Amino acid sequence: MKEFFEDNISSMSFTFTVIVLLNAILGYFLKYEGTNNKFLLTLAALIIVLWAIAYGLSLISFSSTKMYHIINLSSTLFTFYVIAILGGLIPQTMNSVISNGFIFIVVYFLNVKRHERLTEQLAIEINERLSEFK
Amino acid sequence: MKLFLHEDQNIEETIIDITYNIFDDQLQKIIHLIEENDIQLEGIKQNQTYIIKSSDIFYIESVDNSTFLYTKTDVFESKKKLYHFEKKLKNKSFVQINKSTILNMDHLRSVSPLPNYRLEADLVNDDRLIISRHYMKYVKEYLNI
Repeated sequence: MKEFFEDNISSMSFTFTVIVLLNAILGYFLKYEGTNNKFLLTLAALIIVLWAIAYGLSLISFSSTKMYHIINLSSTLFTFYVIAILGGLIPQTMNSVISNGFIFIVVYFLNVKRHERLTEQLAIEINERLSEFK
Repeated sequence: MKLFLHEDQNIEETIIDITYNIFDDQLQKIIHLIEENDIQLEGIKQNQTYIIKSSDIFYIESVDNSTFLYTKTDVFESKKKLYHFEKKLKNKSFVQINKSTILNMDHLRSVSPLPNYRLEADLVNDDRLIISRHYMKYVKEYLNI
């Protein structure tokens, strides 16, 4: 079961995302009632903007990893709040700001851990390939 | 024509020894291919110009307006820009690993992960270099990963 998810989670996530987004786009332009198309499209746009900021920051050399994460987290969190509140994704209440901020930070660090794991795996793969050459 | 390959881990440099009875075109082409494979570069050390075989170069690094060629024990300077070497050493064992460094992959011993999704390259002469996130794809391409 674990192997099934490990091997297929990326493809399943991609498929899920494409289906949800296509449905949201079609539903929004064909004005289907009773669906959260605007919410889904705003969320998709928010995710793209946040990843674009993170990508831009990754091109800069920071003095330390800590500084990188402080600047990355603070700029993306600020952008998240601006777009999410203006786009109507979250209500403008203190409870909502705190709970969504907490979720954002959890997701951020889960992504950091995922990337670290991928970098470690890549290092292992490279070392295995290098040992084949020697 | 027969081809024999013999592994000897005690030698420092690969030796290609061709035994022939007639020196023909085919043989000339083989020799040409071998000779072209080791590109020669110019480097300056203590105001003297030296010719360095590309296979002897561990990495090339650009600092300020100069480029430095690092061999096992020496450092040579060049006024040429990094992109000049990148172009000259294309399709050889040299891969750009960050904005200012081209690494000869033949001298890479191992890599280890660093924070911020980078890798540290450990060379056979114990020098260490950084493989930045955006250049990892070139290393992967070179190693067919």
